[in-house]
Amino acid sequence: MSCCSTKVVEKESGCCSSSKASASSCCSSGSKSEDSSQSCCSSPNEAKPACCAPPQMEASEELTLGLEGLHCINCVSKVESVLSAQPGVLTARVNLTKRQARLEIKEPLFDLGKALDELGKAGFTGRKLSTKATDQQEQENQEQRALLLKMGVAGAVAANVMILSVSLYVGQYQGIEEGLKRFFQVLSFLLATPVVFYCGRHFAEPAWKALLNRRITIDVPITIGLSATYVVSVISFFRHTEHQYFDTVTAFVFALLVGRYLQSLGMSKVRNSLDLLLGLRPERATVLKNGHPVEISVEELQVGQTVLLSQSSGIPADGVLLDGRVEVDESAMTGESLPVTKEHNDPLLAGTKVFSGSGTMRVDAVGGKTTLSRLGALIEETQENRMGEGRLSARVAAIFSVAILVLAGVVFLWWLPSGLEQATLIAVSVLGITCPCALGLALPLAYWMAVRTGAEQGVLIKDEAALELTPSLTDLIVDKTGTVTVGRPDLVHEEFFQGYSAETVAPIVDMLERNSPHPFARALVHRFSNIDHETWETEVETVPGRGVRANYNGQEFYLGNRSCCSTSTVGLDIELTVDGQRVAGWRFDDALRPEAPELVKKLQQRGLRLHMLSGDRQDRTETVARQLNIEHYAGGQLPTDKATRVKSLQSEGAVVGLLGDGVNDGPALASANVGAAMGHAAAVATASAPVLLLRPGLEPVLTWLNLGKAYKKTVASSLALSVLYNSIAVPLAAAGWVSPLVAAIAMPVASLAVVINSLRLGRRL
Amino acid sequence: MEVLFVLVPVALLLSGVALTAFFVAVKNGQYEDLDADGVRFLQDD
Repeated sequence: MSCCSTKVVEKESGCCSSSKASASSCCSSGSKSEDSSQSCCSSPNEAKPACCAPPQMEASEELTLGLEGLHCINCVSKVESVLSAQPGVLTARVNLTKRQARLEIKEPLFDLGKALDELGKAGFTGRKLSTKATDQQEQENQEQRALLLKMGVAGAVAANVMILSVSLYVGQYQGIEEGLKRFFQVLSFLLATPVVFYCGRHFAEPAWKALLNRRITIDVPITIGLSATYVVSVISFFRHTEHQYFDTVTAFVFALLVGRYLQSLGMSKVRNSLDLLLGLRPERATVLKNGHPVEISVEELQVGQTVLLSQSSGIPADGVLLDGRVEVDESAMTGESLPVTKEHNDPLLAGTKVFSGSGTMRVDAVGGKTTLSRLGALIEETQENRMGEGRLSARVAAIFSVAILVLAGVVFLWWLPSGLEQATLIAVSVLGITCPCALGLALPLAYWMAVRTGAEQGVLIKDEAALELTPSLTDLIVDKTGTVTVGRPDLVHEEFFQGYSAETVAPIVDMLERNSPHPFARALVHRFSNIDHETWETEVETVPGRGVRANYNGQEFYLGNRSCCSTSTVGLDIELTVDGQRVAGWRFDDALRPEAPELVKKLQQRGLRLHMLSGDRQDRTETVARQLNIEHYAGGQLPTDKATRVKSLQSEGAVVGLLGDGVNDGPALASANVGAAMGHAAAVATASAPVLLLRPGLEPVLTWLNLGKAYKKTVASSLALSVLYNSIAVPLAAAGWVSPLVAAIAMPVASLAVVINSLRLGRRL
Repeated sequence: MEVLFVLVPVALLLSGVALTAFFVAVKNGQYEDLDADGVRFLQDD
């Protein structure tokens, strides 16, 4: 193959200067497909030094792909075999948990666009993750490993210490040799100490940082509780008294670390999906090559190419408009919610969307150099701040920790008359026994369960506050197209006039609509695809927002919406005219999703007021609303109208949820109490919407609402359990009545109760 | 009961060995993919 061609040698002459030995070793390690090159390279001799110039002298590179559509081990091996078969791929390893493929590639041979295409054919969607996302994940991986190690240590020690303490407790009743008892106590102390200092660091360090920033997080009460219990135990250990809770300390650290580990697994799942969404641009672009439209993957797009733009298509790269006139929705990039009209030489941005019209653009910047990519980097940064501590737990944690500290202070003062030592011991035992487990364990676990359950069903939750607010929603604003309807126009009615028929219209439609990616055009081309007809070639002119026009054989053809030239009463969407005479007309309809009526009913039964705001015509919106029994609806809505509606509802005291498609609904999503972006929302919508619904239709909406309800229930009951436990345990501790045995039983039982309660969240759906 | 002074440390040493094995496993990345690796060996290549 190319390995042996002299052209390559010239290009890569630097490679040839290397010694024969290294060249041969390099060639023999090349990919299997190069049989001819291998035969010539396997015996490097002076006669053919040129043949050994390897095209892949560079060291192999690593590349991470995000994957969609992975379900099980069969998918894993399928993806691995597709990827390994690509030229230039040395190894391909899929991680099912992370939904990622890690490739080791030789750069010049590997064609990312083609590899992604092949994956697409196999039924999977792959996207290259940005370097930043990959770096971030590498860091996250390391943190996760460190956490796992700490968890393992805590688990192993906790089990051993528990065995020792059971012996000690039994010994209290049955009698135990004094020497053996001391021996066990010494062992417990020796085992627990490294756990507190090695594993406990996971809570102490963030707690310290938070205190330095004058904030109180959940780590603060955890650290206080742990250190208090440990200090009491150590004091008792050296004074040979009974208050030694080494078993409790280790078990508590272990349980907390298990919670943290599960939480971090859940978080990385969400983050992986977000990385996928952030890498979102139109997947494919229509490029003009020698005057013919060719669809290519965006990855293959090069600077200087000409891209065909059409209504509702995404702009794949930064560039300028060459010809045509388009209205572009730039809200995603500039915040301008009204479409901007672009003419010759006006700049276009990747990630924005053609609102109407069509034209061609010259590509000036691709990939990481586009404004979109730079914005993506910005969003990732803000996300880091957002994924942190949930709002509710942070709030409750602050109150809780202050309350404990105040209580311990009061208890200390109360017992001071009976001696400083006694007072200290009891105050510290109050600190120790108050179990922040509901906060430290139950809430993060409940959140993790909600996030995980949601992710499995296509609902991504980015923000705890949104989940918390969800059950209190009173109004829900939905879109029509794509939400309650299928979102793709179907040809439902066809009429011919002036003696024209399908056969005579076919070549005209083909001529006019062949190059147009407009959904109506595609549906029409599809309609006439099985009729044999002549192929007419001519220049087609686009009238933005209207239709297309062309002259052929001295006749003028126009195909477009009727507002242009006729007074039809039939309710046709587009008409074909020849020399101003109407010859054919079609009506399209967007069919209702079959499950929509039932789901709308279910939503209404929850007491939600549904509003359907659509950019579509009023009469069509009305028809759909009637069919679904939705009382509040409006058609012809601009993106700004939605935001206005949200605000006016809010001023009436409503808590408004909004379902938006992201690009158009950016401002409305941001102004709603809880914004949910549907499906393939553009990058910026993912930043302004705390909930992402990855599947179209109303089903994920129901899942999301159910999740919110289940989460709130779980949190409430966990907090109730915790209050119950603390209101019994704390007074006992404050009265100085807590024996080591009571503490040893009560604390783990309380933790276990809240943990089990949180894990039940999945069943409340 | 004197034997416990020997046996308990021995037991602890054994769990230390297990813990070391766990460390090695984690460092080798055996916990990176919790879903696929468990069943991967069942797959024919």
